[in-house]
Amino acid sequence: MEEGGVNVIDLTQSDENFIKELMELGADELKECIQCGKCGATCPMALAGLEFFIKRIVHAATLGLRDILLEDSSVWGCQSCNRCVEVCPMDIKPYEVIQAVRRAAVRVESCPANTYEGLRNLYRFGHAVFPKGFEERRKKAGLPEKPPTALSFEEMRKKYQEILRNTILEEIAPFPLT
Amino acid sequence: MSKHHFKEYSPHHPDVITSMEFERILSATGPTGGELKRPSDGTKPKTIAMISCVGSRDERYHRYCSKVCCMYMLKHARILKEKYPDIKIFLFFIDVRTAGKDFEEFYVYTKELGAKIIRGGRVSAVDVKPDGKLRVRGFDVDLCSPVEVSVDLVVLATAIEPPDGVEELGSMFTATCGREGFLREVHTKLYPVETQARGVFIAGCVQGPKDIPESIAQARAAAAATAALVIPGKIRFEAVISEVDRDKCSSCGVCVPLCPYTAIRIVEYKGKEKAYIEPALCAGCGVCASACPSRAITFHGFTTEQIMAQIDALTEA
Amino acid sequence: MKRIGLFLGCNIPFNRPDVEYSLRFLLNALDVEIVEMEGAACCPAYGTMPSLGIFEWAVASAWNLSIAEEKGVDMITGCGSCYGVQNEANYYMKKHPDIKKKVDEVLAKVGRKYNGNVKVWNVTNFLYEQIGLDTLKQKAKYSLNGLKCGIQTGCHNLWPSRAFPANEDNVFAPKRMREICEALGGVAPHYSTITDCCGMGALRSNAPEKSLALFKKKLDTIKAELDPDVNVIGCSSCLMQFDAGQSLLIEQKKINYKIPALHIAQLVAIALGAEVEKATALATIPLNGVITKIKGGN
Ligand code: SF4
Ligand code: SF4
Repeated sequence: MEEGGVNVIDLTQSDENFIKELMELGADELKECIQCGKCGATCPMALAGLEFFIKRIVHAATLGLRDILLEDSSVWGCQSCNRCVEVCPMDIKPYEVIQAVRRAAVRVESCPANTYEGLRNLYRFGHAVFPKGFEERRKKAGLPEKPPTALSFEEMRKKYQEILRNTILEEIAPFPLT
Repeated sequence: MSKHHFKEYSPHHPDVITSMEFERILSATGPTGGELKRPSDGTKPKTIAMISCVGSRDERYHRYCSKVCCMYMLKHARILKEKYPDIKIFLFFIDVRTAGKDFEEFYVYTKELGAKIIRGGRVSAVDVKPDGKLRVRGFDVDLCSPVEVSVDLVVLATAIEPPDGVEELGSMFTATCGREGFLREVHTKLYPVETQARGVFIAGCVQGPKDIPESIAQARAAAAATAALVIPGKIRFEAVISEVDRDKCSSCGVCVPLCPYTAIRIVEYKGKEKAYIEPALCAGCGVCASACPSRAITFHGFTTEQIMAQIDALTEA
Repeated sequence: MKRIGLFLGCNIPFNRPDVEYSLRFLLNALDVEIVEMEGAACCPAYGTMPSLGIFEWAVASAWNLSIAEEKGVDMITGCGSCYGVQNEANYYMKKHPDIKKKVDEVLAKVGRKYNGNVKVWNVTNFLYEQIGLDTLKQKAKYSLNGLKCGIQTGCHNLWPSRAFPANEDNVFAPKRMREICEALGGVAPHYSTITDCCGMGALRSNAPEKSLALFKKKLDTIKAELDPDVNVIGCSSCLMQFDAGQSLLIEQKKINYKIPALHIAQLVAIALGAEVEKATALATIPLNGVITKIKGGN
C-alpha cells in the first residue's frame, strides 16, 4: 500500500493464473483453505505483528492478489517453523503457500537483498551463512580453522556448484555463476 | 469424540472437557447435581472458553460440519449467563452457523447476555499455566489479530460421529454408509429417509449430524413411509426388473454376488440348481443382465431385441 | 561400534563452533564413531534453495544425504534448520517420485547418487533413541546437581512431525529434552510457552525489532514461571537468540535479568567431562554459576 494511500483492496485484480502458478510452485492444496484461523493463532509472524501473516497470506493467495503478495515482504519474515503445517485442519500445508509466494517473487526479482546474499554465499562457499571471523572463533573452541565441509574440499565444492547451476538459480541469480 | 485426539489443546488436563461432559455438569441429575464445578478442584470457574469445530470441518477427522455445536455452545453460554451473570465466557467460532427459525435471535440474545464471541478463530493451542489456569490462543478475524485469554475451564465442542458398528448394521440389510460413515439415504432431496434396502428407513444422527427438531421431523417421515408401505397389505413391484430364463441358466452363479440388493439366490428347478431373482427385492439396476454369460437374464424393458433394434435404428441414420 | 555422520551446517561451525566441539566430544565419550561429512554444504537454509522451488530444495539436500549414504551412515545435526530442511527434503523425495527422478538426473551429472536411505537425527532424538537415558546416566562424569533447566526445543525439531523419523509423543508438550536433563540430575519443568518460537531466523534477519520483542515475551514467561539456572536449547539458531540475542536485550535495557544458555550438546558434553573453556567458548552470557553447580557437586 502506498504511503498515504487509500485503504481498499481492489478485488477485480484477482488473478486465476497467479493461483495456478502458486499451486504449481508447491501450494497444491491452497484452494481448500476454509479460513478457520488456526494457523494465524500461533504463527510467529502474526504474533510478532507483521502486517501480512499466514492466514492473510493464504487468503490473499486464494484470491489471486498477485501485486499485493509480491510487493509485501512479509513472506520473507516467515520462520519456516511449520507450526501452521502441524495444526492446519485442512492439511493445506500453509507454509508451502509462503514458499510458493517466495518462489513466484524471486522469479520477478521481488525479494529482499539478503536473499541474494544467502544464495551468493551458498554458491561460492557452499554455506548460506558465512560470517566473518569464524577462524578465530573456531580456534577458541579448539577446532581447526576450516570445517571439513564443502569449504575445505574444492573438488566437491565445484561439483556442488554444478548441481546448483542445474537449477533455476542459473536463470535468476543476479551474480555470476562461475 | 474424545478430547484425547487434540494434543494441541492439552487434553491431559482435567479442566479441558468436552461439551457432552459439560452438559452433564450443568444437568440437575449430573455428577455435581447441577452445580457448576470444575473437575480439577471442584471450584466454580470464573472464566470459561468454549471452542467450536473440534474434529469437525477437519480433514484429519471429519470434514463435515457437525451442525449442532454452534447452537448448543450458545445454549450453554446462555444457561450460564442467566444463572451466573458474573462468569466471563468466550466462545471461539470459525463461523457462527445459526441458520433456521429463531436461531439467529438466540445468538443475538446470548450476546446481549454478555457472552463474548470470537470469530474466524479456530483455537490453535491451550497452554497449561503454572497457576492452574489455561491459556487459550486463538485468532480474531474482526480484530485481525491473534488473541489469548486465561481461563479456568475449557469446553471442547467435539464432533458428532457415527457410532461404532453402523457399517456392520447397514450391511445386514444392504444399506451402505457414505464416506464419513453415516448410513446413506437414497437421494438427499427426493428420498431422504429411504435406504438402498426397500422397506428400511432411517432417521436421526445415524444418517448425519442433526439437531432434535430435525431428527423428529425425519423420524416422522420415516414412520409415514413405513406406514405407506405396510397399510395396503400388499407390495407393489417395480415394472422394470430382471428375470432369469431358467432353461437357459447354466448355474454359473456369476450374478449372485453382483446384485447390490441381494435379490438373487440359487434355487432348485427341474432337479437342477438355477438362479432366481426375487421380484420384491430387485430394484431393476440391470447389473445381472449385463453380466450373465449365458444371456439367461432378461431386463424387462431393455431386452436384447429391443436394444439391438435401437442400435440398428441409430446406425441407419 | 555405532557410527554417525556429523552434519555441521553453517551456524555451528562458523558462529558457534563451541557446539561443534561439544558434539564431537559427546559422540566420542559415548563411543560413537564420527564420520566426517567431507564436502557437505549448507542444508540448504529455508530462505535459499527451498524458496526457489521444491526440486531446488530437494537436490541441494540430496547432495548432503548422498555423501552420508556413500559412507554408509545416518547423520546427526545440532541445528534445527538442518534437521527440518533435510528431513523435509527426504519426505518430498519419497512423496514426489517425479522430483526424485529429476534429482537423480542432476546428481548423476556429477557422478553421485542418492537412494533415499539416510535418516537425519537431532541431538535430542539421537540421545533418546540411539543411546538411551540409562547409558547416558552411566557415562556421566558429573551430575547436574539439581540444576534448574528451562527447555527450548526449537520449532524445527518438532514440526512438521510427519516428516521426521523420530519424535515426541505429544509435539505440543515435548518431554524428551526434559527427561535428558533429569536423567543427568537436573530438574526441567514444563512451562506454558515451551513450544513458542524464539524469533530467531528469517524474522530476525528481516524484522529484527519484532523478532527480539517476540523473544523477550518468551524469555519473560520463562523467567516468571520457572526462573531457571540455565536455558537448555535444542537448536543452534535458538541458542544464538537465547545467548547473543539476550545480550542485545540486556544492552538495550529491555530486560534486567540474565539467564545463561547452553545447547543440549554443550550441557551433555560438560556432564560427560568436556573441557568447559572449549565447550562454552563463544557464550556471551557468563556460565560460571552453572558450571560451579555442575562441578561443585562432584
Ligand atoms: S489453518 Fe489451514 S484451513 Fe485454517 S486458515 Fe490456516 S491455512 Fe486455512
Ligand atoms: S511456518 Fe511461517 S507461516 Fe507457518 S507458522 Fe511458522 S512463521 Fe507462520
